[in-house]
Amino acid sequence: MLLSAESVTKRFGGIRAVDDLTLTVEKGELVGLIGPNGSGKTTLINLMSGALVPDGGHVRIDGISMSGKAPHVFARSGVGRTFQIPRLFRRMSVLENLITPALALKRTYSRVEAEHKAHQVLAFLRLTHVAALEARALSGGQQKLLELGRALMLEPRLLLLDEPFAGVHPKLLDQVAERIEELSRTGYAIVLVDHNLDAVRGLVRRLVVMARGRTIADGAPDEVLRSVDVIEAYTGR
Amino acid sequence: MTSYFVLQVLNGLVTGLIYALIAAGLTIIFSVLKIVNFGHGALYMIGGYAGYYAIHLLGVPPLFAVLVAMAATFVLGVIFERLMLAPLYTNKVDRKDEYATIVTFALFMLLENAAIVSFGPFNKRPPSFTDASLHVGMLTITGDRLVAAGMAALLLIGLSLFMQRTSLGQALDAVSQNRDAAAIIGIDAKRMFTTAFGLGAALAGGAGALIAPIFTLSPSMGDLPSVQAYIIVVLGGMGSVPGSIIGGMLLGIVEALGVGYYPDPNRALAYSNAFGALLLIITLLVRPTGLFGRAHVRME
Repeated sequence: MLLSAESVTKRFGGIRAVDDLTLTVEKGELVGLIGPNGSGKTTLINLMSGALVPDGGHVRIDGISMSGKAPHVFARSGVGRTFQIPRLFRRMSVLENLITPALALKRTYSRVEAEHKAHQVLAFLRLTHVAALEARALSGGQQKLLELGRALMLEPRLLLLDEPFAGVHPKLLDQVAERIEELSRTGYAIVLVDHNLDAVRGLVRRLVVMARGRTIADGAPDEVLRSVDVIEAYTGR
Repeated sequence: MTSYFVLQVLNGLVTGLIYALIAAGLTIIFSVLKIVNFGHGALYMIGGYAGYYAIHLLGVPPLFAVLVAMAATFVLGVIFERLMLAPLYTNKVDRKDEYATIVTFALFMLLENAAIVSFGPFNKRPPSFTDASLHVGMLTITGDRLVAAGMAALLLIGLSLFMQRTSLGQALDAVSQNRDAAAIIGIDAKRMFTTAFGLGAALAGGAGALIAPIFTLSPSMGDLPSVQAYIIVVLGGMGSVPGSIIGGMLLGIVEALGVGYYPDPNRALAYSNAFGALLLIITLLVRPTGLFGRAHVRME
């Protein structure tokens, strides 16, 4: 088991954003995480990447408790992530955005090696033509791809992708989906959070549905989407 | 007439390079920690005294005393940051901007008063870097000024190379641009805060040690340069290290030319700060974000 969230709870004031939830991710697994607005998906991603500290329960990587550890420790343990709204180094070039993590995390990398690796990632993401531009000059979809690329520069074992399809131009949607599928095939474990049910459903083999901070369904996509609890959570009936 | 102009520009450049050194430190602290260090002038003063005592008590040559002063203020900066600023990075402090203002202002008052008690209220002067001097026509520029300018320029070049070419410099830049993004790529933001504050303090301390043989040391010597540094940080564009370097040199030259060409030489020096303020006003009217400015930044 690569990552496990065991009975994790996160409260904001009187609200339990994540409530005694357990989720495991195996090596190489592609998991879709869906749920209505406010169901706690992003909070769970924040807990699994160290951005938030759980009020109860544990997050473990390779069985080792990561409780109270800072996000950079999660990154060094092989967890890469993206945000709903990309958080890039906006005044750095696209290439520098990719080189920085390689130099920051892998001190043994020379700048030449980091650049070589960055160019490989740019080619994979079809972003080579914008390498010299400042990150803030990219379109929304390109920024999402760049953020994915920045996570890949860490050579992570687990990718937590928070709404990678949100706000992306329809022309780029397929490209984002293809890249995620390709990463999954090459052995990355991926947790994919999104509202775009069709996109998620077509990509994943396991779908987890959250509502009110809890898991209400976990299994094969078609099976899960037929679940009465899931229909109720989405339709309110 | 030409040599007089050149001399004024050279004098301005010397002062400007020292200003730039102080302002670059203030900028690094501001851009990485998102706080204004009101204790910066006091760190500059401590650097001056550290250099003085390194020469007199340890027998260190004057130029190496600058490095000793930088090391001493780096350590002082790191200790202060760990003890007093660390709560800023937790949820224990609700009003982060106000907290940072109070503790850095307290640092200023503590160091300045401690200096009066420890070093005495009277001015001290360390030995010169060199007895040589440069003659421009009928006018002379002292060797101390030239050495101070050369050393400040070297430190600023070193700082620029460090920020652009090293992984630590790149990590500092990453944290200054986006803390969350820096954290998820494995950068320990807290370590960067400590490094940035120590580095900023060391630059201020180095400037203090460089200026000491030119002017004199006193516990209040940091008051005016710290105000100049705030002007430069705004002038150069808040958070921009190149902006603070160019802004510092520009301010030094404008002040020197303003004083040098003011019609009444008896009053000229008194208006020195006014020329800097005028430069700031004109710059902000034309470019409200400063020379290399970017959008408003505040404590995250």
